[in-house]
Amino acid sequence: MSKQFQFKLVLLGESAVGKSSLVLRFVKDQFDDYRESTIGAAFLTQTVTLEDQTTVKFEIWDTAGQERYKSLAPMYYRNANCAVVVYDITQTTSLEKARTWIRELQRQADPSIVIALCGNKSDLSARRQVTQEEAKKYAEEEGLMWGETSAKSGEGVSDIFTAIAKKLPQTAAPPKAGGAARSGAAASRAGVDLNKQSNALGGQNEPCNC
Amino acid sequence: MNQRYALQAQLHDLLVRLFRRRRLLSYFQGYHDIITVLLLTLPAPLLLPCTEKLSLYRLRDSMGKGLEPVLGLLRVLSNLLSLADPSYAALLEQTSPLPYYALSNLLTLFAHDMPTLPLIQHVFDWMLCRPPLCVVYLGAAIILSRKAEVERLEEEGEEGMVHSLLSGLPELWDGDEEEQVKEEKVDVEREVKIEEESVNLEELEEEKVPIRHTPDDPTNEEETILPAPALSPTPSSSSISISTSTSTLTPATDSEHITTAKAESNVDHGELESSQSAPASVLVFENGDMDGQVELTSSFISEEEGTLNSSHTLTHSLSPSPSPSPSPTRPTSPSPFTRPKRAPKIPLTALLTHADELYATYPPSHPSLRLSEIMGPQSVVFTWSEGGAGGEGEEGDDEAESIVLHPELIVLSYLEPSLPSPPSSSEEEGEKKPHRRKPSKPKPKIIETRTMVVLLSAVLVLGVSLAVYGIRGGHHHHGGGSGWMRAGWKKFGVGAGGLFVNGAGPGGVERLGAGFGG
Repeated sequence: MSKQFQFKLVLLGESAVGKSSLVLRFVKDQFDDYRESTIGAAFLTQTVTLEDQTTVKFEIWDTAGQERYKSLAPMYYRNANCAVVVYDITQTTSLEKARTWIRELQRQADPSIVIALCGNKSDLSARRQVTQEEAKKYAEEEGLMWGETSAKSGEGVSDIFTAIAKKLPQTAAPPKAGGAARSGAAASRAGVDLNKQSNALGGQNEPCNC
Repeated sequence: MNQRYALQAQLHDLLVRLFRRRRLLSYFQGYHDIITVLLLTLPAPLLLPCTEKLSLYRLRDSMGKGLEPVLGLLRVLSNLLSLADPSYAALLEQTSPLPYYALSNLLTLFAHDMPTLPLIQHVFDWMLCRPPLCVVYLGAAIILSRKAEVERLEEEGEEGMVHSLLSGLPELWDGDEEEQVKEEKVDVEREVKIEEESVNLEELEEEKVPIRHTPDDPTNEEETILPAPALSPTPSSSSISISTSTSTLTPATDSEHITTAKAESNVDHGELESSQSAPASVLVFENGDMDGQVELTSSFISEEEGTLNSSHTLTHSLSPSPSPSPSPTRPTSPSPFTRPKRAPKIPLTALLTHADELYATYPPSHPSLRLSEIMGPQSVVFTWSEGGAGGEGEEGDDEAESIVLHPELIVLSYLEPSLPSPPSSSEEEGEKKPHRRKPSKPKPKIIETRTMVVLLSAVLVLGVSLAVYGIRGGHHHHGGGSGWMRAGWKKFGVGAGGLFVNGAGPGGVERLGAGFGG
């Protein structure tokens, strides 16, 4: 039987860099030009199957980026196995904000947390303010994974989550026995659940994409 | 689409004007959801004054720098849930020590998640003639209504999904909505046949003809068959909207399953009266120039003594005391919405009625809510007053605005927002031993409750104006397909909010940046 893992992932980053859009692309393969701002946090799940048939179920906490919601973030990154810190390649300030989040994670989060730095909006490279070299160099210095994505076109999105999924089982402690059992059950159900979600049936198991 | 951009621009302009006028207030994500409801509802001359009053007297707590006031409300909500259904509340606390999933509902007065304009207008109608704390009761009613679903998720071990479930809203339907659709059809096609009275319009879908027969739902059938007594055709367009709005209010309660909500129907009657007296003044307003708005507002109030009286009876019958005589047809258990596996749509009025019952059973003064130990004396939940008429004018408004400078008086367990204080601490201290320390800083002058009576103006203006939302809504309906008004009513707001977030709005309103944390 193939291995099944379940990991908690948190998205952090400045307001309007595209955290929710990134998750929406990853979970439902959709993009919405009029994405509503996230209030508080949203929870979604998605399962990735790796080449060796290992399945990794991500429990994704998508946080609100506005400064006033900052005090809620620790609740979501505490116990997180991985964090995707997102910046907007067209906004230098958003990379500064990402650095702040990464420092906070390095100080406060679980020491084994896998952190990926993600430059979103690569479809807007004509307006690029953050070069790939600059971001990549910073990521290497800090030992982070790094990638650029476009939630709009879908470019790079599954790559970054798959890369995290590949790295996690090696680095993170395997889930607890009970958790693993549950994880298996949950993973086998996940496909059904996700379909339900995308059809928004019955208002159940419906993720909040706010 | 052009209309969407036009509305976006209007929303943006309105927000900019408000934040220029009230420089101490800060934007929060979700604020534009609230103001969008006003924009889509009120006639243009009322927009800024109503936005201002609503912001100063109901939203103020959330318009400072931090999230702490609304976190305080979450603690009150948690206490209320424990009172109403202790075992369910305990189950919920396992998942989340505080009901964080209710954050967007409390912060945006349900505007962020409510799927259609008529539904949120109905909620606003309900809310604006009640004290600000009513949002906590409605939030509780919604959470209680989802008990069966939460229990199932817990059984299945999908604990994270509990957050998803509860941060959204249940599927709702609203008698009002059906009437609204009829109104639209009158407006747009002028061909409404009587037979449509028996058609159920609850399943609205964008672009589709919003009519669907649901013979399997006898309740709806029964409701739609009922004659709408208040629907009296009147010649002028404004009167049409008025009479339609009254008709939307009446059947919603009269024909609901909850036949015992006597007080509620009185309430609606009150709303009818007030809305009937509204059109004239609204029309006066439309002729008024923007500079004179505030004065106009107060003269509007004093001019409309009848309105004032009726809304007094309104709020009194509302201060929900229907429960003393629990009637047999209405379950009095704290969670009357226990639902089978496939959750049916919940009538919005059932939630509102349940919220009123919770308010009656566990009023804000209930010791176990610990309201006064959590919220500070200058929170809107304490400064709000429905008594008194006429405005304190600019001075009262200025004082209200300045309250945001003292967050420690808005919520007592206030923590400096800049601290990256891991909620782990605040969270795990949690409900069992709430922060009881009083603010140690010297108190600035406490604003007398009396000065808050200006609120009445806001309530009246908003309440009355929302009751006549047909006026403005009608224009939009003429302007093009009505589908997006329902399914996508918030969509344009998103863009405007985005403009703010990006700080890319025209006019370079530099100080706005502070509010966005940008």
